[in-house]
Amino acid sequence: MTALHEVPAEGGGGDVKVPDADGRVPVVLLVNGAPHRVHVRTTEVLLDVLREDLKLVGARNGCGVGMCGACTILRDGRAVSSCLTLAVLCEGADLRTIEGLRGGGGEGGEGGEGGGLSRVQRAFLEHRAFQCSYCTSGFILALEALLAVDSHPTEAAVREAFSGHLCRCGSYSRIMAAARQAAGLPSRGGLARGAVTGGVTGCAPDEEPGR
Amino acid sequence: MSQPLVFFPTTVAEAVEVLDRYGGEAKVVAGGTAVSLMLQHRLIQPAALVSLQRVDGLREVGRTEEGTAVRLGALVTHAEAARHPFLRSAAPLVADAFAVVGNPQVRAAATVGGVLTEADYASDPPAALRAIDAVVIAQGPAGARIIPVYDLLLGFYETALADNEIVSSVVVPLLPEGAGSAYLKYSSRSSEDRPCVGVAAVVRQAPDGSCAEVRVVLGAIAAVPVRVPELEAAAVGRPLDPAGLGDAYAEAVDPLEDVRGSAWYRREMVRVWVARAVTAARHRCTGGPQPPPAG
Amino acid sequence: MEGRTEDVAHPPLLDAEDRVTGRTPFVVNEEVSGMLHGKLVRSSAAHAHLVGVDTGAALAHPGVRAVVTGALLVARGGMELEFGPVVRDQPVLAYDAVRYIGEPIALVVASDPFVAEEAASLVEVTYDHLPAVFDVDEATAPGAPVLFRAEPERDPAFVDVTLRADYERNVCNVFSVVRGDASAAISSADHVFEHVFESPAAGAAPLETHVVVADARGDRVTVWTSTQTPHIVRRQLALLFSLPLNRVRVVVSALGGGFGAKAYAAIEPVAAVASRLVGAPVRIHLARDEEFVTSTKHAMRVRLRTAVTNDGLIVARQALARYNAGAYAGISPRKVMFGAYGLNGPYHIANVDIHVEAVCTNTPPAGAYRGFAINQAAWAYEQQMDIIAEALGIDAAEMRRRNLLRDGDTFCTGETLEHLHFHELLDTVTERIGWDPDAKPERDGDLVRAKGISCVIEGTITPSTSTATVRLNGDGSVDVLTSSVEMGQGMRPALASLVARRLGIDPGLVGVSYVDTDLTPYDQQTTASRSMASMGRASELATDDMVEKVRQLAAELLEADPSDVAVVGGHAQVVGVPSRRLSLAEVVGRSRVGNLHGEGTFVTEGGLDPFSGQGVGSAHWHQSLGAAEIEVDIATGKVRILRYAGALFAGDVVDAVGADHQCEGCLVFGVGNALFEELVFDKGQLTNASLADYMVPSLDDMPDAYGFDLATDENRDVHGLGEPALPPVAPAVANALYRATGVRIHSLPISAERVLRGVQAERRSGGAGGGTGGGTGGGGTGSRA
Repeated sequence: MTALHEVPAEGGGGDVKVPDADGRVPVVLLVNGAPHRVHVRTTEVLLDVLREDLKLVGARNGCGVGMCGACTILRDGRAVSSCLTLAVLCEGADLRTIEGLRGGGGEGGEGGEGGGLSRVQRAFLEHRAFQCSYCTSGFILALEALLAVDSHPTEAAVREAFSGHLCRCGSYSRIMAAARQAAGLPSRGGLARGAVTGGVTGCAPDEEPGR
Repeated sequence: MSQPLVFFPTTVAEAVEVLDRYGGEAKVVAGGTAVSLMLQHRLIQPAALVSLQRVDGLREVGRTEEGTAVRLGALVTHAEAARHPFLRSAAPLVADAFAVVGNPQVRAAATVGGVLTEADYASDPPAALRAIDAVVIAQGPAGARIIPVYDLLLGFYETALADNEIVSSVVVPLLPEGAGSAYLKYSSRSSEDRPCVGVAAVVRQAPDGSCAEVRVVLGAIAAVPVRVPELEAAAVGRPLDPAGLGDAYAEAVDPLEDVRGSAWYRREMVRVWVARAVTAARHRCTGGPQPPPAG
Repeated sequence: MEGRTEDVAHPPLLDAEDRVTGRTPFVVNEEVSGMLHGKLVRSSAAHAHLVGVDTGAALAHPGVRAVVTGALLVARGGMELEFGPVVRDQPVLAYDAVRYIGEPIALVVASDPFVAEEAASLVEVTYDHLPAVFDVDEATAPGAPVLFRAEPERDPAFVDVTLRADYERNVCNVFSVVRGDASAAISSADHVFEHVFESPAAGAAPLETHVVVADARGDRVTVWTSTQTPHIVRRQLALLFSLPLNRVRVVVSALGGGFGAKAYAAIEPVAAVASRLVGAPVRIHLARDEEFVTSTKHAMRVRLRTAVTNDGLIVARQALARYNAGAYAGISPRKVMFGAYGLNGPYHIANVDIHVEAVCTNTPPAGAYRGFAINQAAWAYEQQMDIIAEALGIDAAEMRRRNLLRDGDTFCTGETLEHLHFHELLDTVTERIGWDPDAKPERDGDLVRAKGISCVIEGTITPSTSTATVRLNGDGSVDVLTSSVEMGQGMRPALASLVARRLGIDPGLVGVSYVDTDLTPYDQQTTASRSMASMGRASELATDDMVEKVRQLAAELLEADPSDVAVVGGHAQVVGVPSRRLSLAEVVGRSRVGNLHGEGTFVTEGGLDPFSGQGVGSAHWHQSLGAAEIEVDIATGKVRILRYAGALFAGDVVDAVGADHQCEGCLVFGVGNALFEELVFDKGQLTNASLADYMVPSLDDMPDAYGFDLATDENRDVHGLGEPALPPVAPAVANALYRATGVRIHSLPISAERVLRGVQAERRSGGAGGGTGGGTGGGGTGSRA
């Protein structure tokens, strides 16, 4: 190898992380409030570290290009794609996954009520706003991020927060119904914006959770 | 195939020093959305990554000393730019362009400096920045230089930056007094898609209602944003004719083809969206004669 | 209308809390101690002889444990080299020829996935290129490149498919439905209409890509895998390794979506073979670009000729359709049967002559896909219905009303159909959408609005077998042991609900297993919208079997005659003497049996003759209608679906929310298929193998309002709802587009570009909305009147 790859002299260009023989560097990640010391490749994305090193499997690999939202986590409160986030650049950030939502880790949790689920999680559960649920963590965290900065968002803001999240199974109407409940927005009847449904299993099933 | 070192300089000078030392083998990382993708797909295999995250002073948004422009630090995110009140009022088309990039997760991470350095043809901000004659401040070993966005973007993923230069800020001139502007993104498929065509337009009308100035820049139809100065000059002094401009631009361009549209279709969309963007910009003109109602 | 699903009790939310806390046990989470990671090296040639595969540099890469190639498998011997659900034509790893870009050539096995991927790029493949063919018509033409020199071996277990292959024409199967005398009827008909319609390949794009961990050490093979067909994978692996079935264990936890793409073996064989060679468990997790070339929706082209009377009664239909199977047959030999009777549509047609071919080409293998062959058929015949109606001056809804099947009608398969609801479903959707035969398109600037309808019939896989075990535990709780796969369709909560309903107990007391073929009994497959119908029935029968045992034991304990004991509300009691009763837990506990098992087997009989299409096509028939209101920007051609109303016959609905979910899921696929989903190939190379380039519908792409009316009948069997709501969507949108613009789109998707070309052609030809024909070719009418 050329001199380029030698360890630079102290102070040359600030702090530097030099990969070991395995190509890894030590990194301390603050995840769900607890520090974790991990050894990561410098090209490794946060998603892989969360899943493989920390066994936090609520974030999922869907597209690898920041389009589907299944890997969404909160970084300093903002929803970001962990598949587009280099782990080595996450030191000092407050990282939160679905497992780190209030009470998400165990019985009762901090919140107690509702099996320790957050308000958003409870709404998703009550509306059964999922099918396979591979995308669900991402939708929930997107809404958590929005509600953290805007406790009374408009419906448009909620929809905007859900852009970049794909539900291939097709639970969008129930996801929106759950979001309206969690965000304190008025529910919309089965007629949604138009006048199509009614009768049977109307598809904008907003009226009552889990009808 | 060894893993790159990662540098965390705290000043621009330190960052430049590392880049200079690595002579093209180092890659600057800001928000990391584009760089992480390129690394995952092995499109780049740098010997070093130079993170700007600990460099002070790259996150500010503010008026330049002369007061004639907005300075966006290179690390300002798309989301911050999109909602910044000053940028929104001074150059709304730029804020609008940052607001429609990708999705909230991407906009929370991707930066103003990053999007210009990446030089992706199917990106929204470059067209808007080009339309408003934005410049970037590039810092290298010899100090700073000013590069107009026009000169910065050279081709697909290719910029005029030297290997040892970084973008430290983007300077966005204020919209001229009375002018209206718009950035319209047209996605031909899903609402989540990247633009098939993006059109940035700036319009200023003379007191008699004729066109005092028009600027149109087309994004996503070629390697770099397309501007046709002759057409802009020809429009001045005549009644503003959005449809006519649309036709003129459709004839003037030579669009590329990708999954979002053929060359033929992109030409047609240039025709439509130039007219729509110019119309939208005219409606946002202030102080001039009232535009006719939308048609 | 019959009972509505509002009346249906709510199922328990089995799994629900896991789903909102990130704890759902997806297959992608599986880890096995000591497992290695595999990365496939894939062909960059569409059709070639493999000259050499140089693995030296990859093997020398630190961390690489092995590079498995086809040549290595040939040299080792002792294992089959090919697999496939019907014919064994697909190499585990290519060793002689490659037949599509993306075909697996080698598997690099390493200690970690990053290393495997790095090393995979170091494998050098040398090709001797052969002429390639991508189009079904070209592939069947004389002189076309031939993909298979010899006819591949059949899997003898796949008894329900009689093959009519013609590999010299690259045809891996043909299916015909012939009834009456179509030629004669056409030659004497008032009007004959003939058109060509096309559908492209598309991706199912489940968010969880295919993933498997295989452990083939010793004398067993175990795979933890994301399959919809665990027992078929088990059989395929048993054949590959020449093992008895009980030495192959297939474990399937939750899937992150399937939609057909995860049916039949895909990466399990190569993972298992690699594990056997390396002596360690091997995991393969496909990247998104690999997922796109693993199983696609069939591209299809059909020439459809329909003869009608002046009154619009269909008297005959002829069709020749070719489904593009891709490089390997997969399930295509069965798909042609669905396509053949599917092309008849939900209409009473006395004279039918339909031939459907599955054609191999140098494109990625096509497989099962939500709507199994019917999407492509409906896309064609439901547009042609509108074309005919307009030509005859008949309202599109009325045209259908005159032809839709009614109880007692004979279908093209010779079956007499009953329990048909098409006419009331038509009334429902036309009412929901606000259908007005005289409506003109509404125009606002460049935006034009109009409505369209479509009607579809779809069968379920027949014959079919499901078995279930129901186990009563000592505390009165109940387990359902099943090999049906939970892939998000809500099969687990629905089965729990069904069994609880039968026992009269709280659904919360019923659990449902994940699949482990060592423990869970046989189920044919989780496809074809069959699980609730087939596994649901098997579970009910198993419950009945268990109840019978409860009655016998309870009779002894209660000192009563078994015929006087009934199981009601979770208790066994002497009929008429409510005080003489025991809880289910007490029956198990006091009789000291530990637990009680009930077994249930549900088999449907049937099948069609492949030369005539006569026989029993389906155990029941899915009836599905759709109505769309769209808005098209005539300056850009971009279509937006404003409202969508679906109506289906659903039989007995077990889980109303789940039913609604399934319908909305179909709409997501319908919207995507209609407007933008398409795998784009350039000489066999997929050019949009990323979710940045291949679009699937987002929240904002969905209609502003949509809903589904389910006609139910609790006295009928349960109808699975995984697919039926999908096929009507695209033709309904296309029919609406035509009413808005006069543009008829013959090839999916209804892309903005295609629409704009049509609008411009229409403008040039001076047509107005409602005029004949579009600018997109593919059609013609002949009239004798």
